[in-house]
Amino acid sequence: MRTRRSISVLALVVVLLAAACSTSGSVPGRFQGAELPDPQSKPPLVLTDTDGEPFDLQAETESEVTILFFGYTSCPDVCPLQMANLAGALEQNRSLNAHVVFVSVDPAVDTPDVIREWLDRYDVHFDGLTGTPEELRAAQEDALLPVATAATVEDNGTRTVGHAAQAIGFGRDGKAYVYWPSGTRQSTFAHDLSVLSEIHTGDSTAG
Amino acid sequence: MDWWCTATNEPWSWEWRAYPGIWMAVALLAVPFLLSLRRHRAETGDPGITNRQKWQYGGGVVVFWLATDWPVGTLGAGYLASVHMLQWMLYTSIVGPLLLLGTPEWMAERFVERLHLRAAMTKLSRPLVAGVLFNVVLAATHAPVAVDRLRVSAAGSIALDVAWVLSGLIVWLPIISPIRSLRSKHYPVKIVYLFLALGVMPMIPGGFLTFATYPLYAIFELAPRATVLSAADDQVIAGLLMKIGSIPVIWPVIAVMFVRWARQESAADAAAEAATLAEAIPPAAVV
Repeated sequence: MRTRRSISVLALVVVLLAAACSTSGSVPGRFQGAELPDPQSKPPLVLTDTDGEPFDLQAETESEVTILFFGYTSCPDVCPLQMANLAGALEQNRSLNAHVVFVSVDPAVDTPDVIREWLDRYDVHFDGLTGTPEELRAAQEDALLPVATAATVEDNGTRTVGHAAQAIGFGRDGKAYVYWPSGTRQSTFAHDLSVLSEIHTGDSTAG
Repeated sequence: MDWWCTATNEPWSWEWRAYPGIWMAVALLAVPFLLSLRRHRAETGDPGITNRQKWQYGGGVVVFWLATDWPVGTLGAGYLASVHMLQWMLYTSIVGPLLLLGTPEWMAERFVERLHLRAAMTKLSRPLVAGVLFNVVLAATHAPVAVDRLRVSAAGSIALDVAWVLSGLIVWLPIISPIRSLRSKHYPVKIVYLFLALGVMPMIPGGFLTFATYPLYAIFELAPRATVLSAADDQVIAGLLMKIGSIPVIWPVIAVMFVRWARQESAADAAAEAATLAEAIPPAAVV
């Protein structure tokens, strides 16, 4: 009788330990994208949106899952793919209300109208931002990203800007937990955005 | 220069690309066929082939070339799932049957004897074997893991295309094998076989593609966009092609077989009736 009770207690302890582990703060492999070892704060960017109005990133996206991406509209490969796959993932997960913010690193070409037209090909809800070269440089530094190179035009007319290819994912608490390199699939975005949406302000399990 | 169409991840361009391996494959289909005809003519004095067969075999080779080479092959290998599916359809619904119809029986007999393929051909011409094999190849070669791994190398891409062409030949053997004795003899069997093997079974993987929440193939999802189609819409078109794309081919064939079956039955009934009448009427009355 005593043996049976001991086994029951032991089993209960094992179950409780397993449950505790599964809900503990740092769960390796929680994201399918690249998880940041130390969550970083949402950068204090104030740039110009596609309506020509000031856009304060922290204020406009407060308590929302946010994806921040720096790119340029004439990008031949990385930017269209990241935008298309984000749009595809969000189309299946409208309830997440995730906020996608695209910041141009090629202000000479990417006027607000150009950015708007380009983003509308993917999702009319995406926000597009631009600014002066100095503002954009500061924005990339605040986001802890390498600053984009100056634009060059190749022989075939392709405009090339070397820029960070990753999109950064912020939880509702305003912290970045994950980034997605170029070549991230829609299913990966969808999975990670769902995880991010469960991280709330003051959430002790975050990170 | 690449030997065969593969997924390169380069931005799509309409600039022509050369694939010598594909030209060699076309030559491999055409040259031995022509040499065999020439030899047959020299030996027997008979052309050994009808004009219709010339057009059918030639058409099969041309469609194979068009489906494999730039731009269809390039788009299908690394840019669009819908074009990838179009290739499969062309191989299995057009190339396979045209090559079989265009091959003279004596040539097929010689080929089978030389390569000791009689036993294999006999087995492969059985509807159950051909149908199962075709659909196993279909399922295996359309699995995302297979497509994503095979299409990135020339060897893998060749393996995929060869598997599709061979399965396209095998699936039609019970209906139109060049060796007539190996064809299925019963029209109802042929009709049901064709309906199930090429009409019904491909609907299952086609349904997976059509109704998947996210794109299943990484190479097409992550490829630079070649058209305005999103990866998801492209995959829906691919799924629909797999589900219903063969209808324009198989239903006319089924209709023709049905009509022939009906005629065969009518002729048999007429013959039986004549025989009954002949038995019923005394010989004297016939005179």
